[in-house]
Parts: sequence; structure tokens; C-alpha cells
Amino acid sequence: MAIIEATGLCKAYESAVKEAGLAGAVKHLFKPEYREINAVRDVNLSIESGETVAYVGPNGAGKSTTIKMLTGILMPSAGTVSVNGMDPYRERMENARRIGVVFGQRTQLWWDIPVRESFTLIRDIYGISAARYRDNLSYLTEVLGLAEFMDMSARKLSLGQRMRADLAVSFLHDPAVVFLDEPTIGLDVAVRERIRAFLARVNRERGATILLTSHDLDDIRDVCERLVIIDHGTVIYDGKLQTLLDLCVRTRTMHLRLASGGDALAAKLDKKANLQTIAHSDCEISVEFDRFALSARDVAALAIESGDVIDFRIDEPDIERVIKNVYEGKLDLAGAGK
Amino acid sequence: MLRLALRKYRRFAALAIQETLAYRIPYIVNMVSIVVTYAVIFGIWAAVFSGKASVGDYAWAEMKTYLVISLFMSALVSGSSEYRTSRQIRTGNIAIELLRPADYQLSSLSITLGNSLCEGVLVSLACLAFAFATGPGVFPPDALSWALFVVSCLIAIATKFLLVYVFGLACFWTNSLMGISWLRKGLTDFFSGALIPLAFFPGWLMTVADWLPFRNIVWVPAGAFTGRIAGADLARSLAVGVAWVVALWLIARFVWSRAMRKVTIQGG
Amino acid sequence: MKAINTVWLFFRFLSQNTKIKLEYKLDSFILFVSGAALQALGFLFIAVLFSKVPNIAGWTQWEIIFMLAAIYISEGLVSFAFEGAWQMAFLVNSGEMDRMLLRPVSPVLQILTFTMGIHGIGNMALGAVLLSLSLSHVHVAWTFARVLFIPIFIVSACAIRTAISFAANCSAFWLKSYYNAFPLMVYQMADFAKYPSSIFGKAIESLILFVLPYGFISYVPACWLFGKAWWGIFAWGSPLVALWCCLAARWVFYRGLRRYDGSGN
Repeated sequence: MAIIEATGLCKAYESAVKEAGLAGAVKHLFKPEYREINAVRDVNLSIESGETVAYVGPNGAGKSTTIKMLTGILMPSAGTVSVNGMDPYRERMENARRIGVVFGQRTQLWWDIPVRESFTLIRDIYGISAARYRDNLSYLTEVLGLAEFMDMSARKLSLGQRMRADLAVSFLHDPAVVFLDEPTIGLDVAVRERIRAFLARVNRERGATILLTSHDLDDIRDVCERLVIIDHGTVIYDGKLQTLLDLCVRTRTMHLRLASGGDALAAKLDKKANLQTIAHSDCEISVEFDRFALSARDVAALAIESGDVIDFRIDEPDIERVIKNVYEGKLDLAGAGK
Repeated sequence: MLRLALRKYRRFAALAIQETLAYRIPYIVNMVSIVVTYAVIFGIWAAVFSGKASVGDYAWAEMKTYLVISLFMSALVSGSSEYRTSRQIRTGNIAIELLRPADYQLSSLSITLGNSLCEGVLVSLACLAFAFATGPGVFPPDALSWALFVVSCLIAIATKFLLVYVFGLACFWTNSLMGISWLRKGLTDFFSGALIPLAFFPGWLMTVADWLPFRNIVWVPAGAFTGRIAGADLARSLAVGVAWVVALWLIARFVWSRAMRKVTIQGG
Repeated sequence: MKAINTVWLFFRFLSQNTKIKLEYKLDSFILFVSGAALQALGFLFIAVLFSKVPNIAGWTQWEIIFMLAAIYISEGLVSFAFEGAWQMAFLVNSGEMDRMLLRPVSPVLQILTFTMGIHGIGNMALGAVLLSLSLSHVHVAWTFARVLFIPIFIVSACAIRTAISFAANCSAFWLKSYYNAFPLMVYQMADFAKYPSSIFGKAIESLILFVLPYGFISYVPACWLFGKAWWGIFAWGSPLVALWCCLAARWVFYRGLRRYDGSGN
């Protein structure tokens, strides 16, 4: 039985329709109009214990709404959800014991008291035994480097410190599933990497299932094996990131540095099949090649035999562009493992 | 130049009205809450007067009129400017407000007036309805008295606004604006004569009340309306009222400048 | 077990909040003073009123002050221990409610203990003083029943007040605005219970007895203690009224929660 199982999940809202200005406000006073918005439409999700899943989509796609239904905050308009074998909405408090939730923009900590005391409050709320608390706390303190600010109150922490503390709080009670909503938002590169490393580690060592929403694609690549893309309320891709890339990114770009003769080499390479020069100067060429037809080695070999190549490098597939293209419907995902 | 300024403040007022209408339920409920307070007061006084021709030297007709004026004055000036200020400080929007090319005090006043206009119309209608429903009252005898009453009303509005504003400035120093606002409301209700005509106060308390600005909010306008305060007394009261408005305005500016210093030095 | 745990958590949160609040000395002082001043003005109002009239509708000064004191004590307790209820509009609209729903503790408890009001302490103290003073000034035929009644009706009074206040604040689920005036209006209605509601007419009397049972906080107990009306004996029903109010408030909350759709992008 999957640890998270959602079938036909739907959520619809009513939104007030109001014209601008004073006249509109008055009109709304006497004759309010509403419009139905389908935030989530028929979402199916099946996540096994120990998986790491990235839940990605443009703003307003329905990510937060889905997470809220999975955590039991919102009641679905239609469909069923099961988390840890329970209906998270009907058995919200029981479910809450077994999940952790991290909000990127809101903290779990109590604002005016030292972080250490927030932890003890959490311990009391979740009823964590003294021994388990001690163990978990020392583990989390070590991995997240909390010691430096344990005695500071939450309001004095930097964003990075606060996020680390929030992560610790979420894992303190050994949850089976942890939901993270934009955990790396606004953080600098070093802290992001630290957090990603932490998530990967705690998933590996503690077996926590992780569901992560993020706009940062490195989060997806480094932490999650699986990628679910949602747009306009429906799931448009569900599978491995690599599969998506393999399927959708046909071309790679190679940049070559030459001693000289760039223009001539460019013209020559351009004539070859499955190869296209996209930029050239005397000392540098950039070529795009169909990577299902040619390997990078093939392209490099072709260039070296025809020109004076000093050095070359290959661009990593631009995940961001891929996903943007997916949102925009530019990529055909038929057979993409939905 | 003046026209531009007027237009700017008029826009603030229009925004305030729009804001008020946007939150239609809370607005209506706020009005109802004021009416409730007065229903209680009215009930008490009706019970006090039942079976008696007069209490103190007040006849029931005059007392009734007094209470209607009190209701009118209490409801006329919105207490929203203090919430506005504190909310802005809490959310950090105060910095944005201060950067706007408008005098904060004046723009607050325009917004308050905007709200007052909205509430004032409804309140006047309610008062009139109430007055007609409860029988005869005491009215100003001539046009001059009406005019003086209107003057006293303007002084009352200005005084109340300034009091709300000055007390509201405390939010720069403390987080408990709620406490400050209760204090102001309590003092205003009591010492303005809104609950009990100042004439009923024991001597020493009446002296205290005479030296405070609150009397200009209900006691003086009610007195001007019913004729209890007339002639030289009224002229003197109005003059003192104006003096209080000026004094409060200056106090407001002074406290504001101290607040600004605190904000810029300490970063709010 | 769960109930004991809930109660223990309640005191834990309350003491935590109190500690935090007391750190803000100026704010605490202002709240204390303004709360006390407000009540003092309430007392002053009655004193001044009664300096000119001996009684109102057959009620003497100290009988009315008894009613006032009962209202103050119950109000004080709500402010002190359950002030969080007044933050519901903020909690609902800012999405803080999400946080509470995701913890394995009753959201009602979390809301009520979200914050505490320092002024409540002063209110309760002043209320207690006024209550004792009034009882010493009024001629009451003290029987065992009457003595026993005092703590019972005070506890019920506090429960009724809390329940009504909480239920009224649940309106935040329906009125999506940070500034929610509805609970203030309901709170305002308690003013009718500060005075013998016979002076307000049958409609108001019915309101504060059957719709918003503020009457059972002050009016009905006073009627019984001072022998004002035969139906004063219903004052012994206060605990039942309190229970009913608490259940009703809980029902309102969970209805409101169903409407709650979280906030955020």
C-alpha cells in the first residue's frame, strides 16, 4: 500500500467577481457575483514509502492546494486521499503525528522564545519520549549545525538559520512523510546545498518519504528521484527527471575553443547531418547536435579531425527551459510515464 | 496648487469610502455596536427617570435630546485612524506611507473625514429615526443657535480626531495599542458626558472634567443644542474648545516629530 | 489520558505566554493600567449615577455593582487565559491556522492559548474586590446554599463568557477580513447584562437570557441572591447553560473549519 495515495483529487473554489473602482464596490455590496475556480482537477498520485518526490508547477498551478489536501488542511471537493493509511482530513490530528510539514515562508518556531524551548514545546506537543527526543535532537543538531543558535530566539535568526531550525522541528518526531513547501526560497547558495544534503541524508538514513515543492530545479535534481509536474490543476508529468530529459531534450550544445580557423570549421560542421552551428568566431564555435543521433564523443572527434581544437565543454540540459516548455505545452509528453 | 492638494486629499477620502464599503459587514456591525452602547445608556436613563418629573434639574425631554446628541457625536468620528496607523506600523507599511508626498497628519484627517461622511449620513438618519420614535425633545430656538451648534460639532469632530490621533501615536512606543485605545475611549466616554451629563458630577469631578478637552465632544454640543449652555457661557466654551483643538494639534505635531526621530534613529 | 494531557499543555502554553508578555514591561504596564482604569471608570459611572438617585427599577447601587463585578471577573478570565480567541481573524487570514491544524493537538486549545492578556489579571482582581465589596454591602440572607453558589456561578460565568467569545470569533471563518468587528459587537452585548435587564424591555431580556446567555453571568445570579424574582432559582442552571454554550461554540468552530480553505498562493 502506497504511503500516499490520491485518486481523482479535485478542489474547486468560489471567487468574488468585482469591478474596479467605487462603482464596482457599491455594486458588489448589493449584488455579489462569484466565479468558480478549479484549483485542482482529477489528480492521481501514488507515492511509496521512502521515495523522494518533487512536486513542481508554475504559480497558481495547484501545488499548494494539493499539499493542503494531502496534509488534511483542506477537504477535497472530490476524490480520495490516503496518507499513512488514513484519510488525512477526517483523521487530521492522528495523521499530524506522523507527518512533518515545512513551509518556506512561515515558521514553526515560537517567535519570542529561544529555539531550544521551541523544541521542548514540540516535544511536549508530539509526546516524544525523553530518550527519542535526546537522540533525534543530537542527530539533527549535528547534521544541521544548530548548536550555534539554539539559545537565540527565533526573531533574531537569519533566514538560513530559521529554515534549518524549521527542518529540525519537522523531523524531531520521526515522521513517516515530510512535506516541504518551498523550503529553499530566499536562501543563499551555501544554505540551499546544506539543506539539500540534509534531506538526501535523512531520507537515506531514516527512510522518511519526502514530497517537495520548489521553483529551484537544483532541489529537484539533487534531492528527488521523481518529478511530478502540475499545471492548471492537472498532472502533466509523473516520472523520473532523467526520463523527462531523455525524452524531451533532443539537443545538446557543445562549445569548442580553437587556435584559429573557427569560421571554416563551422561551415564544415554545419554540413554534417544532425549537427548545426549556432555561433562561430575565429576562435570559438558553438554547435548543437541531436544527441540521439550523435554522441558527444562523435561530435568532438569530428571537430578535432577537421580543426584545431584546444578545448571544449558541453552544456548541461537546461532543466528550467525543459520544464518551462512542458508548462507551455511545447513538449509532447505522450509515453512519458504518466 | 491648492486645487491639486485638495484633489489629492479628496482621493484619499474617496479611497476611504471605498475601503469602508469593501468591508461591508464589519462596517455595519461597528455601527450596530455603537447603537448597542446607547441602547444601554438610554435604558438606564429611562429607568432612572421613570415615575419622576425630573432628576437633578433635567426634565426627561432634555435628557432624551441630550442622549441623542451624545449618540450622534460619538458615532460621528471614526476611530479607525488609530487602527490604520498601528496596522501600518505592524506590517511595515508605515515606511511606504511616509514616503508618499502627502502630509501624514492631513492625509489621516482626510481619510477620517471620508469615513465620517459615510458613517455620519447613516448615523444622522438613525438619530432622526430614534428621536422621532421616542417623543418630543428640546431643540435650538433660532438659526443662530443652530449655527453655534454646528460650530460646536466641528470643534467636537476636530477634538475627537486629534485625540484618537495623538493617543494612536503611542503605537510608535508600545505594542499594546489596544490598551491605549481603551483608555482613550473610556476617558472620552466618561469625561465627555456621553454617559452622564457633566452636571451630575460631584463638584470635584466636574472641575476635573472642565479642565479636560473631552467635554467639547458631547457636553458642549449637547448644551449648545438644548440651550443649557448659552450666551456668554457658550461663547466661552467654544473659544476654549478651539484653544484645545489648537493645543492638541501642536501636541500631535510634537509627538509626531519625536516618533519620527525614534523611527529613523532606531529603525522602528 | 488525552484530556489530562490537553489540560497540562494548556498550563504549559499559558505560563510560556505569560513569561513572554511580562518581558515587555511597558506594554504590560499600559495594559494593566488601562484595563484597571476602564473598570474603575465603570464603577465611577455607577457611583456618580447613584449619587443622584437612590435606586433604579428597585435595584440599589451595590446590587448593580455585584452584577458589574461578575461581568468583570468573567471578562478578566477570558482575557487572561483565553485571549487567543480574539486573534482568530489574524490566524485564519494569515494562514497561521494551517500550522495549528498540522499539530496533533486540539486546534481549539492552540487558538485559545495563542496569546494571553495581561490586563486580564487586573480585571479579575478588581472584579473580585468589587464582588466582595458588593456582597458585604447588600443584605443577603446567607445560607449554605448561597455560599456554595458563589464559586459555582463564577466558574459557570467564566465558561459562558469564554464560549460566547470564542464562538463569536469563529465568525472569522465566514468574514474574510483581518479586522473583524463581529465578535466585538457580541462582546458589546454583555453591557446589557451589567444592569437589570428588566429596564431594557422583554426583547433585550430574552436576548441576554436565551440567545447570548450573558444574563446567567450576572443578572440571574443576582436575582436569586438578592431575592429579586421567583425565577432567580434558575441561577442554579448556570452550569448547564455553560455546558451548552461550550458545546455550541465547539460546533460553530468545526463548522467554520470546514469552510476554511487555507491561505497562500
